[in-house]
Order: sequence, then structure tokens, then C-alpha cells
Amino acid sequence: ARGIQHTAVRQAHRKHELTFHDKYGTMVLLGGAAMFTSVWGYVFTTLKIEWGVSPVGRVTPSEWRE
Amino acid sequence: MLASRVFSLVGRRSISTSLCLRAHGHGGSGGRRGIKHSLEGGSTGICPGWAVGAVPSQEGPPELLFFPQLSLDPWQCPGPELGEWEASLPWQVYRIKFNETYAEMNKGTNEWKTILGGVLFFLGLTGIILIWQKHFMYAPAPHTFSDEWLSAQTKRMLDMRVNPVQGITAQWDFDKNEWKK
Repeated sequence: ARGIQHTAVRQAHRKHELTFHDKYGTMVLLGGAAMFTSVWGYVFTTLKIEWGVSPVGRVTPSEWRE
Repeated sequence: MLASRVFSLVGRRSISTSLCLRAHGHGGSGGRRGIKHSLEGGSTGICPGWAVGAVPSQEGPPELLFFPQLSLDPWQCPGPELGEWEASLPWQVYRIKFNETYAEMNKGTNEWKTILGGVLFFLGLTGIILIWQKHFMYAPAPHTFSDEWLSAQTKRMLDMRVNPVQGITAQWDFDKNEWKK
């Protein structure tokens, strides 16, 4: 355990090369998630696409005989 | 070539390390720095020689420093300060042969964030394609998809007992006139 502590402290001091993922990873992740939720939220709620969902549990049957 | 580099490092350091070792004792006098004996509880322990930059030399293996009690201070072992570790002999020898430590080699990255973010972004692009299609391409849905038609259609299917074993009629409770829970 002390060795890990040593290593962790030492590593924290030697982090001089930041990769693309360190710099922008969080932004890319959040941006992608925002894009995804907004687009598909719109598709499933506002956009009237007929998905053909099953009537079971959803549709209340009504009289059809004339 | 590697071996000669190691020996040149050892030659320079062997004098200073023996001075440091002889200085350990009660009260922490002499040496490169005093030995901290201010300790709070814990088990006994030893400070290995390589922690103070000692290496096996002509005098034999380095002496082990003994502490009656260890503290939680990770730097209690009187070795080089944090910044001097990289310049100390054991580390120089290590870095000659290995570019990274195991910890450095096994360290994780933040790559997953970029990957997941990119995946979600392109899935979002797929949704945009759907929006474009609905807006520019699809004809209006047939009238048989309206709510009134669907409810009448559903009742007709139930009256006909369509798929009574496992299908739609099996999901309808005829006594309570509602869908089965």
C-alpha cells in the first residue's frame, strides 16, 4: 500500500504530457451525450413517426360494428 | 555498454552512502538528513538501504535502518526527498534498462471518454438522418394508423379471438374488460 502511495504521488508530479483524451475527453463525452439525447428525444416525442408499437397495454378497444 | 554505465554510477556514489549509513542513531544527527523518530503508533519496520541510495559495495550489503515504530508518514523513511528520487542511484539504474515503471506502463487513460463521446455523436447523426427522412421523404401515415381506427381494429381482433394462446387475445382479460397486468 505504501508503494502505491509512493507511486501515485510520484506520478502526479510527472504528468507533463497531456494527451488529447486528457484535454478534451470529457468535453467530447458530454457533447456527444447531449447531441444524442437531444436528437433522439426529439425523434421519439415530437416527430410523428409511426413506429407501429403494439396495442397491448396501450390502446383502448372501441366498438367497430356499424 | 549498459553494464559500464551502471558501474560508473556506483563508483561515484559509494563514498557518500557509507557516510550516510554510519550517521544513523538516536536523535538523528549527521548524514544527509536526520531520522524522524516522532512516530504515532503502528508496527515496527525497517528502512531498506536502497531508500537512502545505498547499493552493495566492497564493504558488503548496506545496513538496514530499524525503526521501533512506523508512522503513517510515507516519507518517514529517510531517503531522498520527492524531487531527488529520480536522480538517485537505484532509479538511474532502473531507467537505464526500463523506460517506464510497471505503474506507468499499466496506467489507464481517458481514451474511453473520446470513444464513447464519438459513438454517441454518430448515433445522434443517425437520428438526424431519420428526421430528414420524415420531413422530406415520408408520405403521411395511412388513415388506418389513426387512434380511432386502431382502437376499433383492436376490438375487432379481440372479438375474433386472434392469437388466443400466446398473442394479443391472450393478453386481454375478458371478464374485467382490460388488458392483463
